[in-house]
Amino acid sequence: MTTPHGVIGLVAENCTVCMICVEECPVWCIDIGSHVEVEAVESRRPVRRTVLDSFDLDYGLCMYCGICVEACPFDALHWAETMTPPEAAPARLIHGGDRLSEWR
Amino acid sequence: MTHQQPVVHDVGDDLRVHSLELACCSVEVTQALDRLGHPPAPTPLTRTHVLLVSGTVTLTSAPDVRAAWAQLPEPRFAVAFGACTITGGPYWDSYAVLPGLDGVVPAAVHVPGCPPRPEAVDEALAMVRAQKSAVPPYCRPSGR
Amino acid sequence: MAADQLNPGATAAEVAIAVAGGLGVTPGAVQDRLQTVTLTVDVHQWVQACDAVAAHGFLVMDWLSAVDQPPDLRVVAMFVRHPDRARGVALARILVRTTVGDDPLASLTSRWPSAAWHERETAEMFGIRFEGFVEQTPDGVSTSPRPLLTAGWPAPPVQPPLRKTAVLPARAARPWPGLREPAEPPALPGDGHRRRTTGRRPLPPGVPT
Repeated sequence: MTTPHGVIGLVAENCTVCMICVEECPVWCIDIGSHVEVEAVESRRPVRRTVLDSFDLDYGLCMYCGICVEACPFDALHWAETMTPPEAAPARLIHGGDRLSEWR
Repeated sequence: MTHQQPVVHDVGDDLRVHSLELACCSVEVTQALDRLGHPPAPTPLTRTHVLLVSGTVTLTSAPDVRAAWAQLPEPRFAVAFGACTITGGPYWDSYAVLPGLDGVVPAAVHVPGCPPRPEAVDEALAMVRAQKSAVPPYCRPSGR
Repeated sequence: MAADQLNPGATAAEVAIAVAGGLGVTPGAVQDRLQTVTLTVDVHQWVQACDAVAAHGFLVMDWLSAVDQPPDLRVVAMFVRHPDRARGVALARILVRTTVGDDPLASLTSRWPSAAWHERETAEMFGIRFEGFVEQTPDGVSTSPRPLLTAGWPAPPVQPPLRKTAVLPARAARPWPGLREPAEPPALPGDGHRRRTTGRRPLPPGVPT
């Protein structure tokens, strides 16, 4: 990687809630909330789709190993060049999906 | 604790920083403090404002952290530098590691990263300066 | 074991085979892999084997520890022979290994006082009991391995922390986020499909099952 040690960003549209990043994270710093939507399709079995509700990444725990970025099959996670800013309250280090989507 | 006087960096704006170096993040802190251009000088902790803790706080090192913090006069600020110091980081599940500095001393600033970049020290010190200037004057002993 | 049957410059493998022959253990007890000669002995031959290796010039007890490789719990000790160019002796090492069960293991401290530190660590981290442990301390002779690391801790580990069965309190206190399932939808007729209930990764280590 030629870019400096950055931050992990999210492309929420690409996330299919496959949970691979959550399962692979060695420090358990990712937490994903989701729900299942059932679409009724005429004359066929209903289609079920898992919809992403929340994506929380705790930068107080994250060791920037990049395993989640490598593991994501849909390129929903990527390295961004910005730095995670320091915070006074540790709870603010848990970045939700909206903040993670801003990282470029 | 050692019998020598601790090494303290005067980073300007009447702010003196003692860097408590517990693990590898300390390399970044040393680099950052060096680059600020203020060489370290032996200073008693009773004239220091900031305890910059970098590295893993273990059950064995926690009493030393607490002892250093006890010597700092009010208003004092602790900075948790790096994932280990915030939550235990990669060692969060270890039997020997505390889940962060906050269980030992209250950290005023948490700097994420594994390790954070040296530039993050500047940002953290800026936040400490802002918090220090927000302390009412009657809480500041004269000459500090 | 007649140490004079081999020449002083014998290789580690030659020495290990000679020691194994003297103890009457199976020929497969000696392995020469990855530049390490390993001699596997029965647990009741532990001290005897270490003595025999030392009698061949491997005088230095360099290191002792344990390996938890379920179902086996092994104790290993590395013995080193220092080089002596005048006598044509090269630096060599032999790893003596045994599988311990529930019974205590005989201590090496009466022969190698330096084994005390290693046995203390092994007792603390792997829960192995050492029989006949002696250590010279500034306060006199200690006959039980004192903890090295956890002494004085407010919350010492309940189980020996380096055993595979040890539950990590931090991992027990927090549910693994990988277990989280999406909210179940209302049941539909003819819909038996449940996502992510098959092919899931097993629980990570250190988690109570």
